[in-house]
Amino acid sequence: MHNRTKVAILSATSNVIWFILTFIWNCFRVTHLEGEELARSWGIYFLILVAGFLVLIALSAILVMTKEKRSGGQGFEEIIDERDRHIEVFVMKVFGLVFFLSFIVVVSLLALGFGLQIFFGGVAFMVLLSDLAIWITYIIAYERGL
Amino acid sequence: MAKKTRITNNIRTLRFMAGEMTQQQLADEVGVTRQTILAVENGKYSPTLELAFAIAKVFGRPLEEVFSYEDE
Repeated sequence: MHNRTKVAILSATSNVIWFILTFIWNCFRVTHLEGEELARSWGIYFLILVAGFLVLIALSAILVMTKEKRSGGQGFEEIIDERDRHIEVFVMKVFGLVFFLSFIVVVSLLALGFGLQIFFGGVAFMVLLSDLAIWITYIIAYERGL
Repeated sequence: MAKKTRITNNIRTLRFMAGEMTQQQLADEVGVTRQTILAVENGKYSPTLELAFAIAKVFGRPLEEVFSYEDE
């Protein structure tokens, strides 16, 4: 299995767990809030969510590379070649498409009068969906081929 | 199930004929990762022309002896 597949599986799993934990925690925080307070609380939550994602992705990469190095592989000196770049471009296209489509859906919810709680909740799921789109595309691209 | 490309190759045979050259050795020669050589060999990745020529050059063969294109 390609190192990037391992990083993708670890990142996706840890990010979903992080999302579930923080989303439940945040739901309790914002239930009784309204207006600017509500927006501010969700803003803080999004920063915590994305920061957590980034830390978990970095930890996943460090873990996989360290294990690879210990078993005699290239570890952190991994070469990035034309196939990796080709896959990265494809992954970014998929991410852009998923992000754009989910953004349209979330904004439509707001336009249809579903309220700010639903809108911010929708944005949170949009972030998760876009993140998962990246990792799932990496796994498919490396294991199945493009 | 892996998605196969329409480009087939004889890299495995040519490596065998080149004294059981390893995928890592070939990868080092052409400047890519072993996983990329593995993906090309298994038909999961179509190399760029530059990489295809580089691989052919390592074996000292013309491109069409290393790679071929299958009609549908």
